[in-house]
Amino acid sequence: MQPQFENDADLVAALLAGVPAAFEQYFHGSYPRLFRFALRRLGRPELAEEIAQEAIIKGLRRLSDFRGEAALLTWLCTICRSEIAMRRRRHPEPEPLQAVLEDDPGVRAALELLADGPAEPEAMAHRAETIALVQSVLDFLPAPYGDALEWKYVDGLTVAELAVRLGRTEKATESLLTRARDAFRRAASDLFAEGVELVRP
Amino acid sequence: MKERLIENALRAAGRRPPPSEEATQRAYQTAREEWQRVVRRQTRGRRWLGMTGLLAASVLAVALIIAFWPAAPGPRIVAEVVRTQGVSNYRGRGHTTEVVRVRDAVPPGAVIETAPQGRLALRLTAGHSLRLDHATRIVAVSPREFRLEYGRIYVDSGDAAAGESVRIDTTLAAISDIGTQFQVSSSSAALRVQVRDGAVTLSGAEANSAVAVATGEFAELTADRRLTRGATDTFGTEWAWVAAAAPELDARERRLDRILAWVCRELGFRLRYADARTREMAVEVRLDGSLEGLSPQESLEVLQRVTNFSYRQNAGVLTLETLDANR
Repeated sequence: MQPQFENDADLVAALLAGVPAAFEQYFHGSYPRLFRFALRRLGRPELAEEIAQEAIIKGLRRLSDFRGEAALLTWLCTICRSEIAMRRRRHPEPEPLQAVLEDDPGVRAALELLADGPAEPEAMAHRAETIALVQSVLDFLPAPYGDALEWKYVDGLTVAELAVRLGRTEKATESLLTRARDAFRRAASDLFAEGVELVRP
Repeated sequence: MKERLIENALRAAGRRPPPSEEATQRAYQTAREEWQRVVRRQTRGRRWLGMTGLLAASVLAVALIIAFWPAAPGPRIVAEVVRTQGVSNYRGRGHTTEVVRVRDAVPPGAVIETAPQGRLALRLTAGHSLRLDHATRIVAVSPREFRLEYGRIYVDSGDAAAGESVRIDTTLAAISDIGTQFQVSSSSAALRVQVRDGAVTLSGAEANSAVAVATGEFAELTADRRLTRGATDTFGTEWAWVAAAAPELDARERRLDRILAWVCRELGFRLRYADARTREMAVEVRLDGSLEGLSPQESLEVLQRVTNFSYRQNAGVLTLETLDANR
């Protein structure tokens, strides 16, 4: 389904005005991504679901505070981080073995800004850290780029099938896929240009 | 070449893990209720600002005096009536008795009583669903405190914001919920609490301690202070009245997965999809026509007839599977 509100400021305004389509876009666009954000840090799906729900709800309560200085997802991830930190204070647990790459300041900046990068991405090894990084990039791309790339290259949908799912013409879908690939390429390029070490202790 | 690299990276990464359907439904319902509360607060705030602006403008024309709104004395309603069956009455502070109707606002201090064949469902301002069975009387003390004088009630905190607990006082003990679905039966002889999901604490049953009652458990306290605890079903005949008194599903709802989530919540079932494909299809199916006026059980029977899935219910688990012509 094509997002009705193209930018976060319009989405938040519509949410506060009580537009039902805005809530649908807010929830379905944010909840799965917050779940994965929490899952990468906690390693436990049920706990990640709980934390993501709390973050979604606190985001709604603080909507009036959203200034648009960062993307809405970034803002919600900040709330989610805070929930995870509170949870860890109440229930100390061993840290997950795999460091979370997107908490590295350089990686986080690259994911958030998606600025143009000078280099082509190098061939990527099939390692767990790389997989997590690729999935993070998909989550941080503007909606529906991440979903479109996943449906096309992981699920194997044709452009015609994608067009139906996105509610667009085939030509518009081709155009969206091009932009999505460009956005993914830029994000990945920035990560390699920053010299981010993909394997962490 | 560039596209090939991206394609390889994405294929290697595989599908991003989604949250479970059950968690998604739960989060959706809770978030939606919170959003509606946020919108209502926004609307009240805008109205207040508009009125003060008008007042200030009119006052300025006469004199330079600024008026302040007095602080609200307390909540004016504690609940709204969302469903009635048979006859129910309520008596407000003025001691006049009136027949309860859907959309009536319940003020603090109201006494609500259902007739021998009556049932009632309330939506509390805290977000909970509170239902009264036949021949039941409650006092709405405040938005989060009710006194069950006799009869049987059911509380579902599913749509309430986290931390919004409700307290039910009875002559023998008090019950506080911790994110729950539970029912309480109270008479002069005994108090019985059954928890379908979540947990409640029972205060006053034992000296100096609260008793926790969790999912699938009951606690019964008699007038001579004997406490019995044990296991109880979370679905079936003891809960049938709860589904019969359930507020109706939003008539605009067409999504099969959401309708199923409502049916299962009201019947006490756990919903399980046989496989990922079934789950995906359930999300995509839209019903043609509404289930308006149907109970959860009736709705389930309609779904079994009109959708292309098999529904198997066993030990409180409803399993949905696609009907494959090649099997």
